Amino acid sequence: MYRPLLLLLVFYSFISGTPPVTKYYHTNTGYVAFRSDAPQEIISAKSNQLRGILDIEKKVFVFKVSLNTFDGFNSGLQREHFNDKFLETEVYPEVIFSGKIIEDIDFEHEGTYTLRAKGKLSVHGIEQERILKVTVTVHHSIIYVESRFNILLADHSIKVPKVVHEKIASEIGIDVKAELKPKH
Amino acid sequence: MHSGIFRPFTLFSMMILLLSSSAKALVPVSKAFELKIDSYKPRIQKILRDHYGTLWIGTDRGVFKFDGIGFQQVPAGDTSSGTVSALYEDNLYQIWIGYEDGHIATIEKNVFKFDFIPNKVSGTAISAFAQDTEGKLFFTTKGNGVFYYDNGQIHNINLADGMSDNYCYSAILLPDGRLCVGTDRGLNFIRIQKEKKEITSFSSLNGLPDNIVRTLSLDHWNNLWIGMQDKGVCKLNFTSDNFEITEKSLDWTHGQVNGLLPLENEVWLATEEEGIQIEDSTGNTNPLIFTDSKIRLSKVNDITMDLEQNVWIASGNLLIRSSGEKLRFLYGSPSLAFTSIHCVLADRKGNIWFSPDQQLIKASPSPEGNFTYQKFIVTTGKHLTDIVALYEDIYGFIWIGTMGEGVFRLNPTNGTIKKVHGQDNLDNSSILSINGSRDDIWITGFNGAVKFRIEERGESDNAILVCTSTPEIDTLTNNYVYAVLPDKKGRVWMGTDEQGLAMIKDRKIHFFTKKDGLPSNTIHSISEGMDGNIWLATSDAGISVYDGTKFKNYSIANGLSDDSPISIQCDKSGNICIVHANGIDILNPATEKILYHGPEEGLEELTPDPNSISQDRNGNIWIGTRAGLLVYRPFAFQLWPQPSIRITGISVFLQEIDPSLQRNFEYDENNIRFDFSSTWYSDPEKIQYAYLLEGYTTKWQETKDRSVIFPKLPPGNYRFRVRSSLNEIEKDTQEANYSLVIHAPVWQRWWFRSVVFILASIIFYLLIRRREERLRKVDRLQKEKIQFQFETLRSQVNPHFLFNSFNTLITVIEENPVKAVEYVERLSEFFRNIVTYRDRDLIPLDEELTLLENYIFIQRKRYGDSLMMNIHLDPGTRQNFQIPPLTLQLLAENAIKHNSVSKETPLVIDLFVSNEMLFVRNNINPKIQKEKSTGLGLQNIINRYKLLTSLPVKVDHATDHFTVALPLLTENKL
Repeated sequence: MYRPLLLLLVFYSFISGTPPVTKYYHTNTGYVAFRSDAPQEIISAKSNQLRGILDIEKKVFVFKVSLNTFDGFNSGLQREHFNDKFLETEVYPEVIFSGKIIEDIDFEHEGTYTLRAKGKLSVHGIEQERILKVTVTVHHSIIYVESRFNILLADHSIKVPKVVHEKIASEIGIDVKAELKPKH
Repeated sequence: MHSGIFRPFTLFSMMILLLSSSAKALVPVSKAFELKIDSYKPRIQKILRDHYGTLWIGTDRGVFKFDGIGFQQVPAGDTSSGTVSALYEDNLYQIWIGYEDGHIATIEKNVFKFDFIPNKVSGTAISAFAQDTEGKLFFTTKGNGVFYYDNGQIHNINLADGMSDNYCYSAILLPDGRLCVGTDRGLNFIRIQKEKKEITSFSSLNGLPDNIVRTLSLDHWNNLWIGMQDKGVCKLNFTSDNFEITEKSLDWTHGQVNGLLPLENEVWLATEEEGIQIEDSTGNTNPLIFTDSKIRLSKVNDITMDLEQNVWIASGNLLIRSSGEKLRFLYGSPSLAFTSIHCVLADRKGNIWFSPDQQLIKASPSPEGNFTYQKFIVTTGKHLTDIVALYEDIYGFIWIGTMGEGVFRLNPTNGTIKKVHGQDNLDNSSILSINGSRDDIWITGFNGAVKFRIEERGESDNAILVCTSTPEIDTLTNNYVYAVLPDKKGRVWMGTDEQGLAMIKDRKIHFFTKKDGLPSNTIHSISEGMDGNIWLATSDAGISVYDGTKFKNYSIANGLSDDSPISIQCDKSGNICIVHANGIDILNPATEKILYHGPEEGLEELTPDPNSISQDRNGNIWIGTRAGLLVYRPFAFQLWPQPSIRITGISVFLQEIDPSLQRNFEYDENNIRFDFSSTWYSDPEKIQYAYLLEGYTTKWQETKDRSVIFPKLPPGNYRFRVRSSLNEIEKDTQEANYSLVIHAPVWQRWWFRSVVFILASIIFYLLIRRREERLRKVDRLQKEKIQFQFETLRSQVNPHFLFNSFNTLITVIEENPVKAVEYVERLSEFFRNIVTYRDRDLIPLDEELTLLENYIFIQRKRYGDSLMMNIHLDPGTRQNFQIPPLTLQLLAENAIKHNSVSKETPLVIDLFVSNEMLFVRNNINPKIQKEKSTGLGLQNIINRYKLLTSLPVKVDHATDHFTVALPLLTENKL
């Protein structure tokens, strides 16, 4: 359902020029980190290249991040495993979350809100419908977005070999922070 | 007036202990049913209760039917059984199934019928169905809005039509005819009028606590309950034009609401993370606790209620039955188990007093919907005693009857407990029952009855109590009195041991016994109905009701579970609650129908004490039992629940048929099996069936089986009737029936028989006629023959002939004696032949010719050469053909008779064959004087031939000759 919308937004994100009203807020430098707390090994990595766009009128959004922008692994081998074994980055290079904001709030009104973003989270090529709680702060025409949520590996058909079972948690914690600026 | 003994109280005890584990809720009885396919545990997504009361279970492996004992999978047909996301029964009782993958199916003949709509219409998961008052069926999708069927077409309602969102979770038809759809952005109220879509939205902008509306339900009073994703539940009053949120939960932390069930006092919520949460009327939320401690729920997918007031909960692969609001236990703590309760009292403030073992507990409802407990020690100082009777007087003081220690009066506000002194037989006596009316208190026990009067200071610890003794009460001394009840009419009823029911009225005592129609003389419990009737529980003969004139008794024979009821209580709905050792029976006095709550619902080995029963201010009935403190909530049933019956299948020679189509069977389709089922979820094993095949049997046959087979049914009209009940007694229960006809084989049908009969008659008739014809023919032939013989004889024995013959003979004798001998010989042979052939129909032509020749020989002696005969017949003809005897002789005789035979006019007779005919021709020389002729001779010949052959005899009477042509006959021509 969100695919046409997604294309539209992606299209908007590439054209230059200014729409008459600033209904779009975007970022290219959002922060995403994940952390797997397994008994034997902690895997964590982060990226500063989360791209996202929010239509404050229709209250729809798209966020995506390329998996190859993640760094901060414990070792190169870990990164290799992460990319090749678990997430098959070559086949599924991006994680995408697109959807809508449930709450009826006015993004042009300054303040801090707790919102729910409902949409489809695509990881490892598998889409899951998620409702994520997001803290949004509007200040000086910048929308600060913050969210913490978990991804169940099983939900996205990410198979962990038995050998490394103790090294990777079944649930991965995700941390997202982004500043969305008006797109002129 | 009375011999009063006036004594002050003795203060014995003043102890209040606040129990630490104070927060306890009422716990419904639960039982879990596990769904498994081999080793797979299907996840139950949806529960549907259809109009029969049957439960349908939608899972990630298709649909199952649940009968209270097990699950039966509905055959999936040729399509995979995907994950069910919606279940619905429409107005025509058709069951609809919506799937996660967007398919829609209906169930027909117990089998799915798939793809009712093309996939392209929806494609996204189906979330709910609903039907409007006009019968339009709506279904909602998770992403593509709402669809509905109208005039065979599918229409869509979505954002473009004004809906606030296309992602729909739930739909319900409101009493005002609008459809209410819960979406990601609030509620949408939809009305379709003449193809026009009227849509109103209601979201957080209008005050809805949460935009994501996951589930909707209407309660008994048509309030709309809304279960949300993040904010729990709220109630919407939509009757006014302004939507008004009248109730909402604050600080909801139990996860999204997947299903909700409004009961009479509470709303049960199926949550994503914390099992079932129960919100009571004060807005407090408590988790549902299960009596089965193994059940621990986190995610609950659906919740519904059956027709018996059981609540059904779907979680994982478990389907859990809970007794909901109707039956609950109040549990104690590990340190103080609420078991072996001897008596219970619900006071006017809503507190419940009861006595587990030798304690007295006061359970007070807390504002949070729980109970807090206080423990009182009641003792004379020597030892603890069992508390067996409790009564609240009009001042709110609690009277406590003990086993062997007499009676105490407790001030609930300060906990002061004082012993009540009265007559000697009271002080150290064992008490069985305390009851009262205004200032009069009646105490009964092992030593009869005592009456107290609160004279003064009833509201204080130092009330002045006067014990009165009257002759009519003294009659009961040294007798067990189990129960006492002052009724609204001023009478006092007492249940005695072996002495019947005592009634004190106008200072006189009267005993009702078996002679008056009581089923037993030992009465354990007494209760007054709202109509003033007095209900009694007897020790061993069921219950009885006294309406002021006579007793009416109920026992096992009337459907009761047990003939030894222990307590009886009339409830606020007018039903009678009867407690026995293994459950409670609820009797509806008007219909005499009975509901049972027994071991299946957790009421096992109750073995309560008599009168351990009390009705609280809300009408709930508290029952103290050995197994625990039980509260039964009487329900004002609109329809008395009873197992509804339906015929689930009909098979001919074990081959299932479509009952809606086939009702006519051939004579050899006569092995018919009926499957039927009924559900009674509270106790499935209790269902009894009775069936009758009208046209075959006349007596109802009782069975526990759910099918019956009739082999070799003879042709006829039948009506199969089946009904179910919870006991053998009930007769006016619901019934399912099915009429059918087994046709007779073709040879047994009336028309076939008629045709056969008519044909047989015709054939018979024809045979008879032919036979008669033949008989007539034979008869005629006989007659003709006789006639002919007669004629012949007459002519031969004609005196003239004889005279002529003799004259000739004389002449011949004179002329030639040798010839005379020959002449006589010929004459003799001629006559012998006549006699010989007389009886025969046909003789060989040869023989006739011999006869003819004899005749001509005789005649020629007279006429000489004037008479000539030429026979032009070959020997073959002579041998092969037949002729009626004397035919030719007669023709020759006729010729001689009718013609003058002289030298001048000789008579020549020619015989020849032509065209298969034998011709006899003579020339004509008519006699001047005609000999008298009968004319019978020739006619006789013609007649005889007519009988013998179809070929005619031709007579040609020309001027110069006379010819008769005779058909040549062979023997077989006859």
